[in-house]
Amino acid sequence: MTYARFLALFVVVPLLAFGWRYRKSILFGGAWPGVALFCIVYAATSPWDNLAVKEGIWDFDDARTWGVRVLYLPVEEYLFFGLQTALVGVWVKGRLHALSQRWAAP
Amino acid sequence: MTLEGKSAYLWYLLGCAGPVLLLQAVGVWARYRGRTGEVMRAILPPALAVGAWLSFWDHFAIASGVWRFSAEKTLGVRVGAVPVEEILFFFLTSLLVALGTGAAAAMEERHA
Repeated sequence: MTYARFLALFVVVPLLAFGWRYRKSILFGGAWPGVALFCIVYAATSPWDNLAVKEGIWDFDDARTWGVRVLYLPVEEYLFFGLQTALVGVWVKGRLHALSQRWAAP
Repeated sequence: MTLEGKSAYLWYLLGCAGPVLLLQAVGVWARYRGRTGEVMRAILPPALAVGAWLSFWDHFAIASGVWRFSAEKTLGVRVGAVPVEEILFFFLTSLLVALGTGAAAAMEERHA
């Protein structure tokens, strides 16, 4: 199986399920903090992961990716950063939204 | 910067993620104070569950050869096909996102 298929099956499918489950919470409080979080994740993770591959800690099989690398990483790896952030973020945001509603209840 | 030795991945991970996690935890505590426990109970289960889920499918990705790890730069302790550092990576990164989302929710409240 390829990296893209792993992402689709194990990350995108759960993300869609949680996105639907918590659809009313995704924009709870506005969108900009989420956008800021994505920017921080990419700014921090991209150099970290690139250096790890450069140093030979891990590497990818180009035959099981789309074969396009940006610096040392296949593009699917960059997709993974965002998808993991979205998966955790949507779920956490849904639970925080529910918590804030409990706090606001009389 | 050169990363050498069997603990290279472990120290690289802990050295980069540890200070940020500590800062985030302090930030969440400073924002929520007496309600920090409630907030942590809300954000920890998703972080732990996603960390476990990603570790689970990572076994199949490694077994399929999608990516591979240096035997010289990892401890050599594996759960299935997954190096323990990689499992730690999934838990720590999920926790980083969860705490970041918690901090962002605090910012939302302040700017509402």
